[in-house]
Amino acid sequence: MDAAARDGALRHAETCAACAARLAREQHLTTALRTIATDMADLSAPARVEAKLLAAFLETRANAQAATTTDAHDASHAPIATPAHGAAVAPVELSAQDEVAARRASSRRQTWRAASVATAIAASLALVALVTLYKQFTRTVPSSQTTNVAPQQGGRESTPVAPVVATLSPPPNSAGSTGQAKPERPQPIEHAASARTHAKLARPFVPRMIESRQVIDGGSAIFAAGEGESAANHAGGASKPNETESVTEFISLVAGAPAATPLESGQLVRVQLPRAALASLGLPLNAERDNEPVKADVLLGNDGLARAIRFVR
Amino acid sequence: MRASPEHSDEELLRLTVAGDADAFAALYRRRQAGIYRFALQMCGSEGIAEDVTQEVFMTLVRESQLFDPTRGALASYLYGVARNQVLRRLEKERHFVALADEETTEDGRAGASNVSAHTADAADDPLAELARSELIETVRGAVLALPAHYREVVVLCELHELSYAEAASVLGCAVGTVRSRLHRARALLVERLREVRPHGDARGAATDFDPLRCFA
Repeated sequence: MDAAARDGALRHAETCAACAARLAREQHLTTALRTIATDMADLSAPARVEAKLLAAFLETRANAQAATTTDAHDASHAPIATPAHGAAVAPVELSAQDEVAARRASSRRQTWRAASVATAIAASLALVALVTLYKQFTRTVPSSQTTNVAPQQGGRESTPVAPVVATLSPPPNSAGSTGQAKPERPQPIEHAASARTHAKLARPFVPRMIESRQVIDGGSAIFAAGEGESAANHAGGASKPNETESVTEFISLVAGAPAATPLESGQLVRVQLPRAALASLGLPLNAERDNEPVKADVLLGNDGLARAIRFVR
Repeated sequence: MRASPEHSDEELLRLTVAGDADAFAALYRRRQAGIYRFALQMCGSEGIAEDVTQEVFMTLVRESQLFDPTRGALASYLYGVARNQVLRRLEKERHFVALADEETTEDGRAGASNVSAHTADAADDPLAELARSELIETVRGAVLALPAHYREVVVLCELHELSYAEAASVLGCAVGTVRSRLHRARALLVERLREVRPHGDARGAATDFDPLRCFA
């Protein structure tokens, strides 16, 4: 502050009460702040802080030396550029700015190196995850053809056998004759799930397939009205119900019920139907259990049409 | 080359980077008190001040390449690191409420802190020392109650007696900003000290007069 201005201000404060009061307040504050500064002048960090810092410093230096040793070992295997003939090799004294620049460049290199390593690790992990997902996906793809079997057209239009999702799995010994590729692995569970999904969408009229179908390798099997049981038995007993179940005779679903309908091959599909289906086929119906579904086995021909049905209890 | 008191801060830092533990210790002993006091005056907590001091010198060890001698002195750089650490800690502690000190006296006022307690023993006049301690506590409380950007200016320029240019270097702002902040901070301090001054204080009688501003 200019000395003349200071003297003038002090002279003014002698005559001006407001400035005198302000000056007094400022002087009081300055005195108080100096008192604090003086009072705290002897304060310093505890000795344990220095001990901790020194230990950390020595550890850091040891790590740096270890890293330097490793780098030197690597560098000793690298080709060394020799100076040109007659050139004097002298130690170069770096300026402070050069040193700062070099240190920053080194820090930048380390950062980039760490980022590269992290990126490589992340890419590897992503690749492994992709391969794993791909493998899982290829396992879950159904290997057999799925089709929607339409309800049988003809005289029995009121037949409650609604469209079902069935899998046309060719018989094991007929793959070559049908010209279709043999499925690598049958997926009955997935087809059942497909059927369940389909049934949910079409409720309450769509029957639910509750068991996997069994392939009937009929060969020259002859199916006719009233002969369903024999046809099923011809399937090598595959359609035999469980011992705890009782079944009805097969009821033909073929329109017109011809005397003999050839059945080359087919499938037996376990479904659930509304109990009213019993009445539509002329079977007695218990009105008290009208809401409960009833299990049935539907015999599907290799053309996908339902040929016969039997009820299971 | 061995570290000695004649070495500048920058030379000690260069030796430290080269792995000289003695140089690091010398640098620490030279600068730790200021950093510790700065942190203590900024946050009022000895624990935080201790942590901040440790973190400042650890930063110097780990990232010494961040110091650029062309931009200012090492002391300013250390104050700047300490300032950032303190502000970070204050931001973190902002959501917590400080509990009353265990040494709280019967009338509810906090007892004298360690800062002023260690000087009380040396007092010849108990009453004068008591008044002094009260004054220190009052002003310390007023400084701690300031907003952080005013507080740091008061601490650097008034308590650590840094020049405006040095404070501007620490804070990373213009010298004019330091001046205006200091002016405003002092005005706030005067206001707060007037609020807490007990009635009938003879020393304050002359300063309590608050007429209209003089434009002379």
